[in-house]
Amino acid sequence: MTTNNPYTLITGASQGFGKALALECASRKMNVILVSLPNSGLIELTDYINSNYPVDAIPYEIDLCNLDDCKKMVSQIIDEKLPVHYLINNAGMLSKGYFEDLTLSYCEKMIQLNITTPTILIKLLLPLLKENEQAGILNVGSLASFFHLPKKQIYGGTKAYLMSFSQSLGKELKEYHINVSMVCPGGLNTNTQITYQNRTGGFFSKLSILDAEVAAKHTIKGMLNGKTIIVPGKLNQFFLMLNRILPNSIKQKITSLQMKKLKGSRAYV
Amino acid sequence: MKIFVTGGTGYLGRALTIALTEQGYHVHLLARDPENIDSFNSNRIKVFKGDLLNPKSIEKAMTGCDFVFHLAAFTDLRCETVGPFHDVNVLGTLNMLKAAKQLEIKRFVFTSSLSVYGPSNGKGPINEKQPRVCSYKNDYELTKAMAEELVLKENSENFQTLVLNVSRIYGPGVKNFSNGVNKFIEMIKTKKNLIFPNKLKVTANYVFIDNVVHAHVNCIHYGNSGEKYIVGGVNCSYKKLIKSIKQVSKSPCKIITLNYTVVQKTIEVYSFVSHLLRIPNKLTPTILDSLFTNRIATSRKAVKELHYEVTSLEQGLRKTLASM
Repeated sequence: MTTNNPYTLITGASQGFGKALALECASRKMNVILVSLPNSGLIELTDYINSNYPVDAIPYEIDLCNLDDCKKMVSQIIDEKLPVHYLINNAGMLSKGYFEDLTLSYCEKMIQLNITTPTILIKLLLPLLKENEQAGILNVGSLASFFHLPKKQIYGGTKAYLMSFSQSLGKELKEYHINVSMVCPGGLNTNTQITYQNRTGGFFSKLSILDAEVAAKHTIKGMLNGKTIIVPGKLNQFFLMLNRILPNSIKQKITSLQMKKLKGSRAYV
Repeated sequence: MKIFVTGGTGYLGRALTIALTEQGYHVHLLARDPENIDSFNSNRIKVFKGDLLNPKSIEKAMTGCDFVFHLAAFTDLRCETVGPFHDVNVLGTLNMLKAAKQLEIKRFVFTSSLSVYGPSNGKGPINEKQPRVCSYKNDYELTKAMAEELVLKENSENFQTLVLNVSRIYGPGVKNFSNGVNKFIEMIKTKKNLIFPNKLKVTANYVFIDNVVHAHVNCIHYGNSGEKYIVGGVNCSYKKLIKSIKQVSKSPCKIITLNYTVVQKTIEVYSFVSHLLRIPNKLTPTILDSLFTNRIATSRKAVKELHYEVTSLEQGLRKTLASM
């Protein structure tokens, strides 16, 4: 165990991209504090990291939507004097369905987990991060924060908040040598269901899909180098560039085509 | 007691079916074309025509059974789309679970693959607690993992489900494309020269077919429901495997090694060309990758709780070669 070494706190670490980020940190000999819901496979992952990597992994099974739980966790970390150098806000809810079909509690929970929780966690952990010579914050966004897609209204909105927030905050925290990065992944092969969906997609979307571990490698490297915006995958970077140079009228056409496709599939379902 | 078996005409399924009847059980088999299967010498076996994608045929064949072994799967890695894998392995399993629950089956044993755990990491062997740490490398792994999730989710006191993750099987039995190890043994036995990629250190787990059959049969009385068991045998590198086969078969076969990357690139190009020309292709990059992935595993839990004994490589090879 190397407790003198800095810790990286990762939220939503038991599954998907968070799990890949945790494993990438571990393989770079970075200690990790992993936060996830109870019974989500977090203990198995922590055990696996502790027995296979020369690092210390600490699990916290809490509901990140509960701000009191977040506060308790942070005060515990401060009490135990764990040197947290990096905070990765990865936990989030994915979009599902049309706005009019979403329940009130779903909307509320999504905004809570995708916006309030990361904001509060940064606020709570900032004193700890400031103590270090070099520290960093990584917010996990999405390519969806650039493209305004149907069925991703709240999701895209929350990620756009994170994007704006990260960049402003980065300017403020520069004097403390805290880098604020934002990663915007496109489609990732994570759990079975999502991987299956990815493999049934069209030619271009299939090409743009990355394995979670590949995106994680790119992301952690970018975070350690203090990159402001990280976009894993060459094709995704290309899409983003297209988005910047294409005139709005053409983008509107593409989106409405997409919309028609979605509407069609909705009628079918 | 009556037992329902799917995949009973395959390599493992046939051996399991015979073993079950030898122990006095009656077996119902589901087969897509019953006319085409080699007849079994037992009046304890009843073959039903049916298909995993036809729920009615499953129900009909499963009626009256107390126990299910679900072995049938789509395993052909040469297939380039996920569709057939998903149909058979996921939807087929879903149909099986629905029928089994409805017919109040006591125990449902799902045969899966060690590959669902991904590669071993070079430190410890793969055990049942290892989480999947890399993304799914092919559609077989992916759909078997999806099916496992469905099977374990259904486990309850009245409907017990368990999963057996079997490693690479070898040993006497029907010849088909799903027992590549046997083919490899035969090649070394008969060929004078064999070209092989230079990744001879790649180590996987090899299990003798009798051990796998034994572990399955024992699931009738042993094993905890809701659990997964890695049913494996011996961890062995290609180098050691080739040496052992040569020793036991007294074959003079000479191994000529070729740079792995060169082999890989050649197969990639060949695969692409045969795809364009629509020529059937035996060795795709996906298959090569799965053959050269380290899969060192421990079956301590299965050996202890399912009470089977691991046959040594030498003994297993002796029996296999004697049957060829």
